[in-house]
Amino acid sequence: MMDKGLLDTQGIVFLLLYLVSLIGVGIVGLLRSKESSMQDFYLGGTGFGVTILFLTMYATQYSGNSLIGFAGSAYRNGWFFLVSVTFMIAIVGGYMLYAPKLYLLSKKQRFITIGDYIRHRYEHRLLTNIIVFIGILALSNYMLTNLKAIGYILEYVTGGTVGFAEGIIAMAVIMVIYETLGGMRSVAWTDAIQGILLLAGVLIIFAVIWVQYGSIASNEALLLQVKTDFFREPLLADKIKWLSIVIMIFFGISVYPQAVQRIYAAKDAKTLKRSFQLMIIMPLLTTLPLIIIAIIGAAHFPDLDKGSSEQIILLMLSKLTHIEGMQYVITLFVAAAVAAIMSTVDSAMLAIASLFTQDIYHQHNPEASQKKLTLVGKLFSWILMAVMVYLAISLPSTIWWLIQIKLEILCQIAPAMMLGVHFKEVKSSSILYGLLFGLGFTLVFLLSPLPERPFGLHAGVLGLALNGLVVYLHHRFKNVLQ
Amino acid sequence: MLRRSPLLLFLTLPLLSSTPYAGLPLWAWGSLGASLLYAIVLIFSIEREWDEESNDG
Repeated sequence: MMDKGLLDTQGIVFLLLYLVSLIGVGIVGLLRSKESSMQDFYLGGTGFGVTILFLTMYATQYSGNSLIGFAGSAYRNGWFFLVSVTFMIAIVGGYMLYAPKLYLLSKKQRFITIGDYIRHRYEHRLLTNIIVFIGILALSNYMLTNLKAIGYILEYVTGGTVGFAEGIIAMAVIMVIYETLGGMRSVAWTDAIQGILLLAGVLIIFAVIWVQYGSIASNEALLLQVKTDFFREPLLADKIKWLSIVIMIFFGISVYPQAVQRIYAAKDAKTLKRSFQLMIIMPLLTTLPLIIIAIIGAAHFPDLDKGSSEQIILLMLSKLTHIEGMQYVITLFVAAAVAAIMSTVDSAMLAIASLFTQDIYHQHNPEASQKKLTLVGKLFSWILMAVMVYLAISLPSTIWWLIQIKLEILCQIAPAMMLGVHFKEVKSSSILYGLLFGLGFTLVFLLSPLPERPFGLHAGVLGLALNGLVVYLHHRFKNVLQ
Repeated sequence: MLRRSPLLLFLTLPLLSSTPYAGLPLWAWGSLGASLLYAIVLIFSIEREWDEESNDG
């Protein structure tokens, strides 16, 4: 147990008030629901305007990892981690390869999940099931890693007053309550609060650190002295790694099932267009400041190990507690971190519950009423959260590598999404073979003693290239094959 | 332009030297500048080509 927490009584009270207010938002979401239907519950009645849609996209995309993990990575990797600014912008480029067409189609066909689109486009049960399974796997990873992160943060900032397991359980109960009360409406509205908190937190902390620790330029001499590796010449291997990361995230994160649901939930095309345009700016206002903070931190605290480097921002802030009002900044940082994590977990939970209800339960019970389906989805959310909490608390860290591979697997569904909307003549069999070859190749490299990064590229990126090649060859020569 | 814009991502690769300038190595300024260019192109091509993209085909 730690001796002293970073949050004082006022900070803890603020955090508690914020958490209780989220349940209030859930109740308002319940009161505003128009009908007991899957569309209304999982897409908020498809009526989100720019403010809510943009903020829910922003808060969902920037997880706890963006706030804590990105700073740690920037501390360890230096300026190379500017790749995260590039890939966070590139994700929107990935959406643009399919979102304009998919949005129109979703309005006509009343899609709720990613599985709805795959089923409609390809009419192939096995292909739909594989893609739904990959989606659930990736989202479960998101939930688990973020739940674990929230447990560590709460334990750290309260000095052990709130234990790791207690923190996870308390947050999980709050999230599942507001999610089952108002569905997507509650999740999007709480995401909006969390998005504002995240943005304000990052910008205020950036300003404080810039003023107190000096600018990048004024820290140059110190950095050149203690972090010479930040200024080494980029090697060919670095360039290949950069390219590989950008490709994997471009195709992987842009097809996240919860992101696809937000495309469906837009009120109209103009709303969606504006939200995406705003999302392009956010890496410059969120990711870049975090990298700069961490690099200034590396100049002042150069000898941290991996675990400590993840707490670089908290460490920098904790050294400024003699300044009046700094306690508020620390509270804001903790609230922003908790908000970033909660907005990711609640969206992932909602997306998994909708995938289960719509793509698994509904397919086996086609006669089930909308009311019953919504009820099943709510019940499933509670069971899912209980399982995830159990796993987050008990899963040994030795098997965490298994769930770190989500993006390499998730990007394999990109051809099904992106080619499907543009090329009507591409058949389900071509997509299925491509997916199986891509997945198979990726898993062989990730689960065997073979190198995880053949030729310096992520196995998932090479798997995606193979996936696309197989789709092309099968499509081109399928008549010859038959 | 929207479909071809990802090619700009190649410009973000760390291609320049490491000579420090205002606290950042030159290649970092280059990558940041290219990312900014990509962002601007993306914003404008979404504005101009969204309708065309959604109806095309």
